[in-house]
Amino acid sequence: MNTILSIQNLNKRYGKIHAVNNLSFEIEKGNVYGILGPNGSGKTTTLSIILGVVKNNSGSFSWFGKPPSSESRKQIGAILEHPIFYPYMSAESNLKIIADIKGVDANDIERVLKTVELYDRKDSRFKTFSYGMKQRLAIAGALLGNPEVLIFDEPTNGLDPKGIAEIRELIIDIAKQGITIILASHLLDEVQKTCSHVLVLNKGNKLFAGKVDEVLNVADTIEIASDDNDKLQFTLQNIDFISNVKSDGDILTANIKAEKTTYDLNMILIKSEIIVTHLARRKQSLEKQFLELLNENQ
Amino acid sequence: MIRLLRIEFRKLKPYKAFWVMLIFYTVLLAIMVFGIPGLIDWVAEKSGDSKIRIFKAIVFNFPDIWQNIAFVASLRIFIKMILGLIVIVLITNEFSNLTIRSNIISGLSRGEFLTGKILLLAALTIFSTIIIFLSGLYLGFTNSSSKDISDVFGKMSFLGGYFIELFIFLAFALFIGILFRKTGFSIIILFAYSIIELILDYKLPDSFSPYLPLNAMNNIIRSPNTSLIKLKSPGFNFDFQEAISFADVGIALVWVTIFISLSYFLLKKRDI
Repeated sequence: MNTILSIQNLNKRYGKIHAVNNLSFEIEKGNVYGILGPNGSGKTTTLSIILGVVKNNSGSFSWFGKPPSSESRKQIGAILEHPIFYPYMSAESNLKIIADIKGVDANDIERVLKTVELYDRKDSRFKTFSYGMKQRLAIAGALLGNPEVLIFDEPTNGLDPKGIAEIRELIIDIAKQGITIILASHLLDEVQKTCSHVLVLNKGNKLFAGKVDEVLNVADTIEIASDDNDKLQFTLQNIDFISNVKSDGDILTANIKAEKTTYDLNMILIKSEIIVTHLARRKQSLEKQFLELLNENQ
Repeated sequence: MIRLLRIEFRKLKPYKAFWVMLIFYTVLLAIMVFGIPGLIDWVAEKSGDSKIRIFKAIVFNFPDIWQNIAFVASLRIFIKMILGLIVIVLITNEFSNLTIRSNIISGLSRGEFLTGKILLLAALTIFSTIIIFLSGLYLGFTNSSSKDISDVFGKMSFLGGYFIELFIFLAFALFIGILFRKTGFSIIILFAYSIIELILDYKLPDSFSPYLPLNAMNNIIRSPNTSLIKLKSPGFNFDFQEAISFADVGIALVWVTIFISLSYFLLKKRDI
């Protein structure tokens, strides 16, 4: 059984707003998935549905190949939006409730509190915690009982740069243990740094799904010119790692596959007896690519 | 069952406001129960009315004391309202803190969540019934003229009636909390409805009266026959309740089924 989660034609409407629009995707065991999309793209709604707190209007989903139930939720560790705990209770007592619900041994609490470095604050009440500590406690709660899948919804939201770095490191560490992770974020950089797969959502629609490298590292741009631009253009069009060749005044622009270098290109051109007078590679920023991705699909 | 109760108890144990309210309820109940004999003495002395002394001699007699004490403790818009408030605060807190959501995400089913709360209501009801039982024993043994075992245990069915009545009232409070989800608003509704039903009762034909929900629960324990009225006017023959009636309990049980089913339906259908 390698499919952890399977979603088919999921729909959720809030009045006129179509928060999740006919969404289908599958989550395979052992991968780290990023659900990427701007605010309001349906990430949290989708996660709320698969976690059983929000009802979908139509469509279906299954966890571990079975219809969703409270039993399947016990094998999932999740944080949804903000950290939620009983404010008047200590960190440890709050985790005891989760342990009781999941049927996990209370001895595991020490391990998860140590993982998120909150063990020495175990007796402090939740409401006395800073936001970063609350978020770490939420992660500790999700880790209780070594769940098969972890779901993190905007885990670095509201944290300072140090907190962000710590949480990301923690997620990467967890991912190394082979646990399946679903991470929702509006930060491209975050998904790119932590995830192996990505699902791009906008306005409740799925735009792309695939491996992070394939979806997000489309191609870089090159600018190139020589004495004979016509011959150059003809040659470039026949190189397999070059695409989208256009003439832009005195220079040509084209896309080059990310894994190829200008050295590779130059070697071919020299063999074709073309001497370039100008060659520059522009690394397209990921942020820009992401925005382009969203714009193309408006 | 034990797992669900343990979860509920974990939530309550460090919750100071709950214990303060519960102690307040217990103290108020104790003051009432233990203050009454002294109060009656004081009234009798001031008024010089010998019938009030007779009343005191009768009201704490076994077995009638069980009916009298259960009647007073279950009066509408009275001391049991405190327990109703506790229930509303506990359930609406789960919504306002969003902790019901984290309970569900962690793997509690909606049915289990409701069952946990119902067990909690049962625990509160048992607690209150035990207090009434102990108070009755104390007042009876210190004041009753008869201390025969048969008299001590006679009419103890009224304690069972008290348990059912209080449980149904708390289930009503739980339903209001689940329906409205906001603490303040739910409390206002609980009080407002208690008054609205009195008006409804007045406006509607008499035949509807026993079927209104608060009437239905209050009818389980009706005015006891040791009422002062009877002593004051011996010629006037009221139809006093001598035992718990299955018909009254039946109507009230229909209501508790409705409250719990609707609560379950709301939890099941709504987004949390």
